[in-house]
Amino acid sequence: MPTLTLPALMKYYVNDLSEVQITGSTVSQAINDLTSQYPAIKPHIIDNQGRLRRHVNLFINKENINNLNGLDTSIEESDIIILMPSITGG
Amino acid sequence: MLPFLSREEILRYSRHLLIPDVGLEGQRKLKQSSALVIGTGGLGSPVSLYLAAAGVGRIGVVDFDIVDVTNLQRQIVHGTSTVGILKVDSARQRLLDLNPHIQVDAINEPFTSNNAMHIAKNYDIIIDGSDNFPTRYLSNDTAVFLGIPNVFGAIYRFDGQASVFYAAQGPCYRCLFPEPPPPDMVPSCAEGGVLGVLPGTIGSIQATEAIKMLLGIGSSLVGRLLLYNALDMSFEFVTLRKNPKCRVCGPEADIKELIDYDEFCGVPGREVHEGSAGIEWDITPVELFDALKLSPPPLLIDVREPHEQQIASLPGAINMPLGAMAAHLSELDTARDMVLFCKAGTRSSRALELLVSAGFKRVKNLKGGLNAWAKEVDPTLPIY
Repeated sequence: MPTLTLPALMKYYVNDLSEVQITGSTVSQAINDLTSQYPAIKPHIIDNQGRLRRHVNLFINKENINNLNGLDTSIEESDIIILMPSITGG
Repeated sequence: MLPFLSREEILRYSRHLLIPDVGLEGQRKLKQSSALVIGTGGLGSPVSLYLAAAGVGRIGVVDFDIVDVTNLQRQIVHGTSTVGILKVDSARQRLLDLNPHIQVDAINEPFTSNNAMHIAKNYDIIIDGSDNFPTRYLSNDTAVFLGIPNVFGAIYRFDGQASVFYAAQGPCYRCLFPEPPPPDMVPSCAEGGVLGVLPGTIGSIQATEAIKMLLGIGSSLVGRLLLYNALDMSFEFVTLRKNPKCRVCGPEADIKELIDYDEFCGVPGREVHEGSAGIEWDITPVELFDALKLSPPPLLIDVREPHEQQIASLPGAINMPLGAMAAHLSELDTARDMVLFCKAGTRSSRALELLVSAGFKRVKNLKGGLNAWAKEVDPTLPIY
C-alpha cells in the first residue's frame, strides 16, 4: 500500500503516527482515505469547500503534485507521499 | 582584491585554513562577505553565532524587540544578563565577544516594505530567521529584487524546514507557497510551543548553507527542501522547482516592487497581537473578577489546548480549543454571557471574531489572557 508521511505537528490527529498506510489510485482518493481513517485531521488539511488547504503541499516520491497532475496524480503501490504544511516559527 | 588576514585571524581560523575547499583564499572571501540575518530569535541565534565564528566580515542583525526571559529556552545568542535590553544590542555584544574581528550592524527596526530594500542592498545574502508569514514573503521578494540568495528556515514544535531560495538559480519562496495560509491556520511558537533545541538544528543548517554560498563550494539546498522531524530524527528532502507562473520570479512576473505584506497575509492588527479584541469586546481581568461575583456569573470558555490547563486555569472554565471551536458552536447558549480566554488574549480574540461572525453578541475577550489575570488579580497563577 502507498505510505503517507506526516510531520510531527499532525501526529495529534492520527494517533501519534508519523506514517499511515492509505488506499487509493489517485492523490485525491488517498486524501479522502486519510480523512476517513482519521477524521480529526480533516479541518487541518481540507477547507470548508472541500479543497486542499492552500498552505498544505503534497509530494509524491519527492515531487510536488503541482508539478505532476495535481490531485488527479496517480499513485502506485510503492509510492511515498509526503504531506507538508507550511510552518513559520523562527 | 580580497582582504588580508592578520596573524591573529590566521590563528583563529586555522581549522578552516586546513580544509582544501576553504583555505586562505576562502577565509579571505568570508572576510569580504556580508550577511543579513532577519530576526535574532530561535533561528537567528545559531545562524549569527556560526556566521560570526566562521569570520563572515559583516553581519547585520535585524530585530525590533527586547530580550525576554521566555526567549532563553532557545535563543542562545542572548543571556540572563541581557534580559530587558534590545535584542540587536544583546546579539551584537555576544557576537563581537565570540569574534572581535568582524563588524556587526545592529538594526533595531521592524523589517518592512519601507526599509527592506534600503537595508538589504548592503548585504550579499539574506538569512530568514523571522517568525511570521508577512516577513517571510517580504524577505523573499526583497532577495529576488536584489538578486541575492535567501536562506530559509522555519520551525514549529518538533518540525523544521530549510532551503535556499535563489531566483537566479532556482525557485523562490513564492514558487512553493504562492499564497499565505489563512491567518488562523498556522500557529506561532508562542501559541503552540517549540522544542528549544530545534532552531539550533535548523539554524545551523542555514548557517552551513550561507557559508557554502559565500564560499561557492558544495551543493546547496537550492531546488531542495529539507524536512526535519526531531521526534523521529528523520531528514527528508523533496524537490522544489521554479514555478513558471511565479508572480515575483517568473518570466511574466507582475509584482515588481514590495507590497503591503500584512494585507497580503490577512494579518489582524496589532491589537490582536497584544491580546485585545477591541475596546468594545474586551473585559479586563479586574472587571472579570467583579463579574464572576454576579448571579449568574458569565460562562468562562478556555480556548487553549487541553494540556495547557495543567499550567494555569480559571475555576469553572469549560475547555473549547480554538482549532475545534467551529464544530461546537451549537453547544453554546447565545443568551448567556460568556468570556473567552487563553494564555495572552491572542487566540481568544480570534475565537471572539469567530463567535461574533456566527451571531453571538454576549461574548467578551479577557484582554491579555491568563497572563494578565496573573499580573492584575491572582499573582499565585503562573505566567507562561
